[in-house]
Amino acid sequence: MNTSLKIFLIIVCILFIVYIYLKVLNKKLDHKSALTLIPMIIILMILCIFDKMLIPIKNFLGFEVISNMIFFLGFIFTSMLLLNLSIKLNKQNEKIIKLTQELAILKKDSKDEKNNR
Amino acid sequence: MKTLVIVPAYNEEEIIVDTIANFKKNTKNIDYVVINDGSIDNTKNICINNNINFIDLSVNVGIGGAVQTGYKYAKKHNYDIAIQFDGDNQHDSKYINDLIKEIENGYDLVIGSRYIDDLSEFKSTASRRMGIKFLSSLIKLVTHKKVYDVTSGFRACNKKLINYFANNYSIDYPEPDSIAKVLKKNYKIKEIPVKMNERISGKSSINFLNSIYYMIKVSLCILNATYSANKEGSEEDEY
Repeated sequence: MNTSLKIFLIIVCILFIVYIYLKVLNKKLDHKSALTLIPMIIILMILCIFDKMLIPIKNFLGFEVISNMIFFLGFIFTSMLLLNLSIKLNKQNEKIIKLTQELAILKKDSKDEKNNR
Repeated sequence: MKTLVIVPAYNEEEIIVDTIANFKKNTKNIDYVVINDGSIDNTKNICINNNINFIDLSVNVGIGGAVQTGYKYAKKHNYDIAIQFDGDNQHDSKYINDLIKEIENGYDLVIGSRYIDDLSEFKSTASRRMGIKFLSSLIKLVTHKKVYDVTSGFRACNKKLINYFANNYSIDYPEPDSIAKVLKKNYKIKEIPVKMNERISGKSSINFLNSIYYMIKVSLCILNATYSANKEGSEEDEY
């Protein structure tokens, strides 16, 4: 990987970490989510800095250049993150439906009870 | 037997009063409850003004979620039979007693069908009929049992299935999916001929744009029925 691309990727990673940290400070993002994202970015940053380490793996897997492999890893991380978020969203959706149903039944029962008094 | 008719309604302000009037005209000693599924029109106020018995969902949860609310209510209030009945006056309440009779004869789920007799002149559009035939064949493939009107929302079930549906019910397009699961769990299903009317107001939950999504999603659900039916809880699950 050439030096300018390396520096660019490292700067992007650092800016992203700072951005996530600011979101946590402003309470727009919880610590749990931040602690999932930050290690992924740090791993990508380390791979950018010590890219020579990856040469044997790159040759073994058949990537032309290391940057391709790093971008591919970034894509895999992002896809995993998206899947994880979709699962969380699905669970929350189920919880919202259950709460809405139970609230509606409770409201109905309490209204009926009041009318029967 | 203590019976509850569950009437899901989403934006049915024009027809809900007629639906309930039609229901009351043809039935005696049967409770009903309209599930107002977060309607954004005047359905809720019309229910209040006309003394219609209803449960009000604060947000729209989809047809499956609305019907499941009815099953949860039926379970909580110890009903023996629950009947799904659309809020758009498509179903004819004259056939409610026929559904109940078959439940009393020992069937777990009784489906009001447009396709096993010529009672119903309205049998949906050609493309929908094709879709329904495809889903029916898919259910046959997975469960080895034939059900003709797999999308019918006019059906009755007994206490065992009330308890099962209260805990396990698909949120959108639930009918074919639930039939496949119920068959996989070896419950007894029967179809009886009923007459259905064309909807005169409101909007069907399945329009042309989402019909492709519908077919793919429902087909997947049916194919997964074996796994889901084994994984999901039984009717003894706690509410």
